[in-house]
Amino acid sequence: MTKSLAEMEYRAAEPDVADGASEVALPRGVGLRWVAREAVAGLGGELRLVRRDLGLALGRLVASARGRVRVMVAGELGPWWQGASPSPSRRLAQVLRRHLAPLPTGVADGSPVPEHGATGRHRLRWRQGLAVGVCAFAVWLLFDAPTLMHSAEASPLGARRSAALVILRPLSRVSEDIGLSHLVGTADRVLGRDGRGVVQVVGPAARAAAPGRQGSGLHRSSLPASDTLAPLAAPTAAAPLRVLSVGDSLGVDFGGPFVDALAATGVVNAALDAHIDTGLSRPDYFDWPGELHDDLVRYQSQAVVVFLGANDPQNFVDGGQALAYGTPAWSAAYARRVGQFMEEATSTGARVLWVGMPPMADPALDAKMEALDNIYQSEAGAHPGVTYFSSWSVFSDQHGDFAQFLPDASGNEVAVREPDGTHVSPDGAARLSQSVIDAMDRAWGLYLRP
Amino acid sequence: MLFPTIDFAIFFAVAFTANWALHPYRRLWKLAMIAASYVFYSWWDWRFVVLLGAVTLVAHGGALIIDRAHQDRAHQDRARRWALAGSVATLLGLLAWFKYYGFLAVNLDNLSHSLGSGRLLPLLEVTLPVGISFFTFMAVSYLVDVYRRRIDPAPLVDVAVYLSFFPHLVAGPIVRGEELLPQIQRHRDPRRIDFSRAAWLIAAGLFKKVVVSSYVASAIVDPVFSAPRQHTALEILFAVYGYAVQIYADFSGYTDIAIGCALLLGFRFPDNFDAPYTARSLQDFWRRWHITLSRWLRDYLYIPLGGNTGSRWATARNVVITMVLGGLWHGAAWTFVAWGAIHGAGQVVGHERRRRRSEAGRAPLPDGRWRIIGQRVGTFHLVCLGWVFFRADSLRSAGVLLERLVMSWGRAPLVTPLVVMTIAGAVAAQYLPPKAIERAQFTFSRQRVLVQGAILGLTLLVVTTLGPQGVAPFIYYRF
Repeated sequence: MTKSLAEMEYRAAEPDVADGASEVALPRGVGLRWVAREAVAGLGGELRLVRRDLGLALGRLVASARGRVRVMVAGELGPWWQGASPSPSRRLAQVLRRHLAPLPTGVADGSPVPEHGATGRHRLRWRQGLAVGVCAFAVWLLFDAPTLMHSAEASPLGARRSAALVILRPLSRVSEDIGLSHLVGTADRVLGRDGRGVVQVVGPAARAAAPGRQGSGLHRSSLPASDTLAPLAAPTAAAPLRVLSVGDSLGVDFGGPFVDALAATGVVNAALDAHIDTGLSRPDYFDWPGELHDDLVRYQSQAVVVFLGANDPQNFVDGGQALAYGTPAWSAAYARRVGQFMEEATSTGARVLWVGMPPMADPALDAKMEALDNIYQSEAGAHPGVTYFSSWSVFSDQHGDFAQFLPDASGNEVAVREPDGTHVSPDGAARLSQSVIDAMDRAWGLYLRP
Repeated sequence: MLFPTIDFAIFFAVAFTANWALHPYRRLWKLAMIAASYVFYSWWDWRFVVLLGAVTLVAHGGALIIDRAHQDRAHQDRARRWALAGSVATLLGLLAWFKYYGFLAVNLDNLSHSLGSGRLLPLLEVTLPVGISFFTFMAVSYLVDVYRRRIDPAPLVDVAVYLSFFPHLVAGPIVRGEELLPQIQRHRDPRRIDFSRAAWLIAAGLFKKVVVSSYVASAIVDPVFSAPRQHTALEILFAVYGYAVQIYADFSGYTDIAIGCALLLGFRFPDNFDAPYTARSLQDFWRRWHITLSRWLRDYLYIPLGGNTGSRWATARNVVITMVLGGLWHGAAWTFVAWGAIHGAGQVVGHERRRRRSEAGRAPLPDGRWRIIGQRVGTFHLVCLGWVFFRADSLRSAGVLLERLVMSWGRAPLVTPLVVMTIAGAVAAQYLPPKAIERAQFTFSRQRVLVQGAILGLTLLVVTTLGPQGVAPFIYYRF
């Protein structure tokens, strides 16, 4: 008789003796239809039993909660009612002893069931485990609430951010009032963490650049303004061209091979400062204008290559007003930020090559990148010293659409994008690097070759 | 959702409560765990759950057909083999489509281009579902164990819980049916949770993944591997050591968190790492690194190929094939094939040396202190050689790194004292005596609930303060 699913049990399988039968066909009736029939029949039976169990579980939960409340009330109010309650100080001592003193070795925690296993470790009941977890979370929140609140403020606008701030704002005030947040602030200062990352510098004179941050861009010193840009002299190994590459996660993908290719010319000193999850939309999360200012002061860059924007299509607050992505007000505010970023770069006399965002596999993101590229191109035209370079043609197929694979110089197909259809693969970064270097040559009258 | 996130903390609190509140009601518990696991998996992309469901149905259906064929004694052996082959081929076909199609198509296309022919396959990049390599291998192990009569086929609901169980779903360990299915059926005592060991695993896992791995990656590994021509030999050397520490801290940290979460739910998972950088040979390394994968490769690939029962050449061939396919499992790229080939060749050479020594009648060399140290240092460097290929963007980039490692000596500004101390400390931590760790867990278990909570809260604070902003990417989750 065929076993039903509910009757199957686990047992140690006994070795079977083959009877030498050699026919290939499976037994009659066994196939996909049989499997499906068995599965449906079994599932129906299981669901009926699940309904029964659910009713039992809810009933017991309610009864258990009522019972616990009765015990708790009798335990706390009973002695008080009978006038047998100990003095407050003795009560406090009892409570502290009960909750803070370690368990004696080898003795169960007041339970008839011995709780320590073979290793001697005390085991917990599941409610105690939950209490430990909640307590740990509470301790962590109390100490770290201000940091978490700043992270929540910098997160994308929406219901999740609002809910997080509702919880974190009062906790943050409590943490600051009783001084717990100072521990985290002190640790950040000791570790020298200012929210910025490591800037990679490569090139013939790279070793001469001293490490160390100059401080936050919020206290930026004034830089000499530049109305006209002096022409760039042909770089040499003794006087290399100083190039700064900045960007978001696509800038990280592109920047490594790009600075590598620049430094390989032997006449370029290239610095890479790229950070994932950043852009111009949320300076409260990462202050790119301040970061750029610090980099320009430190590296005295003559040229800046910008490759960011993928994280920017999101709502942000501008002048106290929340602006939704896709509205004319958002586009105007974003264009102003792009313009200010360009001015920050050219104010030191540096030239800017703004590399537009490439096509994306996701049609919605692709449309957003195209819209942003229009803003970048428009602002570049309005700012002297800024050249716009479109990466669209570098990463698109013959129809101008997104391409995952493109032929390299020898005609072999290579993956130019990561499997997520957004980020740039190493081969794609090498392809874009060469195109950007060619664009720099054309725009600034250079010849950057090894 | 990734483990070290607030989302997962809230999700796990709910799943933990539901697990223990519902555990007396077996069926309800199973459905709740399936729902929780599918919600966990759909956090990346809701379409992935369709694949997980399909793999579950194929595994369950295949096991039923194999068992049914077994019961009908007139049509046993060949029918069972065909049922097994069909089910395993379907599962591996799904894995091959999602993981290897792009790689295969590009390489075939380039081969045909060099021969002057047209394109053989359309070039497509298929989205790689998270954890597909892990749950596919688990499904294959379940089918083979049913075929070998090590276990009986389980009900569909049990198989669904086994394959989708969220602690191991994304990045292992690769748990076998005979290890987890009986635990799903068995009663788990809600009064005896090994909380101190679970807390240790989760806290240590978070520290390794969020602090150690992230710091080493950003301080030296990523800058050197992304621009190898611009760094000197000492920087490349420490970047390679750093990657050895990074991948160990990242992967072992993640599986420690997985094992700790499973322990909190009352399930015991097999260990996946056992101080791998203390290994004295490559064979020993694979008994300590990603233990569940190496066991799977041994039992479901190496032994069916013949293992070491044939001639020396057959054994060597089986070792190399197993390690190369093991390398390819990690990713669809020639660098992973090279990594597997290095490990395969290294094991063959080591095995051959030992065999010749015993055939010559010479006794094994005594285990003196310096000999053990030499073996450990030598094995560590051989493993690091493999990591160069594992991490490099391409074979050419790996070649540039190795060339500059030998030729390009000069100043090394990226090799700071903190980088050196972090790498040395992480390797030295593998030599911590297990008894010291057990003692710490025992002392923690004696503390009261509030004290344990305060200790864990402060540990979490240390991890989040020392760790980077945002969530660092996890190396193994796209495998």
